[in-house]
Amino acid sequence: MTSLPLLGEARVLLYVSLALPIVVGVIARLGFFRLDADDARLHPESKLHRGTAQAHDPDPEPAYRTPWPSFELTPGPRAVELAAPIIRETQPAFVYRGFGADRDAVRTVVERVWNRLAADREIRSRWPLDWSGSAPYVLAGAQGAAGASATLTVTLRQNRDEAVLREIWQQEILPELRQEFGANHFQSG
Amino acid sequence: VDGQVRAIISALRARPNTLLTCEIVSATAATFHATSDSWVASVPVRLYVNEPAVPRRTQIDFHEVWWADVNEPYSLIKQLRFWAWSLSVWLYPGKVESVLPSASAVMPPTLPSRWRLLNQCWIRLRLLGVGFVAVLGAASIGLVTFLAERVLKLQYPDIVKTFVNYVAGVKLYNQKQRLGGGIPSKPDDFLDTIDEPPRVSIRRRMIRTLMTVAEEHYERWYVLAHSLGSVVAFNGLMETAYAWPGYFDLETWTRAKGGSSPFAGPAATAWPSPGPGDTLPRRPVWIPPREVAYRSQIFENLHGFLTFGCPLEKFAAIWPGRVPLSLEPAFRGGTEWLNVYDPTDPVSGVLKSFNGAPINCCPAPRNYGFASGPLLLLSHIQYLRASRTHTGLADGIGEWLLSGSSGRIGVGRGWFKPGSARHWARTGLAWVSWIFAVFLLAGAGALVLPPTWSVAREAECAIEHRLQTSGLRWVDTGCPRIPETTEPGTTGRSHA
Repeated sequence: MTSLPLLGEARVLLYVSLALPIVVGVIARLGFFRLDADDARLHPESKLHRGTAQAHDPDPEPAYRTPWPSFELTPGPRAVELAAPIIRETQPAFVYRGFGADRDAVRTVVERVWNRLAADREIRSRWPLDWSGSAPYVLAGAQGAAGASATLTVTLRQNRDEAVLREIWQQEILPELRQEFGANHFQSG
Repeated sequence: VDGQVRAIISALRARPNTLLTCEIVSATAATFHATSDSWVASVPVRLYVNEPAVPRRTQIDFHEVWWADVNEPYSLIKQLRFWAWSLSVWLYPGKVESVLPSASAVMPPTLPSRWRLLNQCWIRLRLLGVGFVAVLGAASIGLVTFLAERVLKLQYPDIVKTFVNYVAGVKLYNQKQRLGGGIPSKPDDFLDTIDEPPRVSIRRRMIRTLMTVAEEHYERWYVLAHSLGSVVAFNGLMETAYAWPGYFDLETWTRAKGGSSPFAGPAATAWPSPGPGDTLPRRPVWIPPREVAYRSQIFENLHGFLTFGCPLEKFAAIWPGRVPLSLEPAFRGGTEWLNVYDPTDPVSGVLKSFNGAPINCCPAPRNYGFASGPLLLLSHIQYLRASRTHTGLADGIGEWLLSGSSGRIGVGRGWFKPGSARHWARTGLAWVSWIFAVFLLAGAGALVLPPTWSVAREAECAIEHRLQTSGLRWVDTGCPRIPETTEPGTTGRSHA
């Protein structure tokens, strides 16, 4: 070994270093490793458990029903002192003129629809999105008073996934809002 | 806790006009095997923060989940077992799912089916690569440090010991039994986990801390988990309600059942209850048959879960049964799970397999890339590094703790999205670093190994010659034979 030049020795070392884990791994797998006693492969008769998993709710009075309020940073004393702008709102995505419904009530419905969508695995798998947190839509504009001048602007809170959030609004949320408050409040302007 | 909190304190102090006082909460006795007697298990560190724009003072308590003592004691046999394991871990059997009846309340993390097999193979291949580099490292760095200590009597940081103890935690987490020193090693399980895997002891520390924090009734609380701690924390958060009593003593459990909003009690009537031996750990004998933990009450004020340098995706590929997602609702809407990774940290990764459960059972992780450090592997311990622009992870955590907004995590210099150009650039940097490290270690090994081999060979031949002169048999290893002496008055030696 000592007679080999440095490169040759390095090459031998590389071969040995690669061969060692392969050999040790194969020996360990064949001779030493054992499956856990409760592993499904040791109990094929118990495979009934597969696919039968379902959500249980063991608490008699669950406390998780109230969602966390949105802690999104807003302009204010705390935000002023931050070094970098961190508000993630983009330009208004939707503007509705002639808006006459209660904006807080609309916000509640948006949250409700969002939570329902987020809890539905099938829907979540349909939309490639991070579903955690509250509904990423910020509602602003005139509140309450009916009339042609009143507007509702909807801004996307997350600038990523913008296209998906727009689609979800159009396909999932807006129809429910129109059903709840009437289509006349949600005329695009 | 010292290292992690230190970085967060620095970040909080860097906020304009923010005043902060840190207290170490002393205890009458130290935690078992703790390195400092001031580290009390409940609240070792407490911060008081004054912000000019906020009318009230904020108190932040840091609780630590201490489980270093569960690790096996360092010994020669531990090192041998560790090296055997680390070289063979790439072929370690997977743990897909359990057949314990309580397993019906959880589900394994799953990737989309078209990626699952490919991902498993890829991660096993990478583990083989880790074994490959480990051998190279042992034949170069390991050998140099060994010789420096034994021959030159130089004191150096015990890299091998640190590495073995650190990574052995992963091994321990998959062991069926905790072993002591000596050959053969005797079982050395803790008394409360006899016949149960040592990970039960580790999870016990986590779950007891969760209960302790819940009992404090904080306005908001968070779980911050690094490296293997992410797996421990995730297991604790996902543990099923029926298994919880097995982690507690009678006194704590009785206390948890008291008060106007108890943390434990009888299960809902429609809830199916498994038998006494159907959970891991076993349910204690003093527990009534239908009693469970009310996780939704315990987690009521849990606002977020942060993982960084997190190996959960590796576990999901090889041992999904070790990191199941709960199917029991427990988390409030808006509870966040943020995962911070760096491609140059091979332990971490983008979490893709943990979106399967409803979010009130397991919040879906949001992945953020972060350039934690410039060097391969070292980046694993640099997530909380100071940031000149105050946009680092520690700064983001500070904002999260103070205001409740995670808006500063993922924004600013150093951050990137999964799949972005910077993500791939850092992935490329990681691979280049690996290749460079392999050639560097191979070169170093080629320099050190041959002379070491020659010296060892000479020593072995010298011993053989001495034995030959004593007329003892020795395995013939090809040493040059000693010429017969033919001086007058002496008799020739005969080889046995």
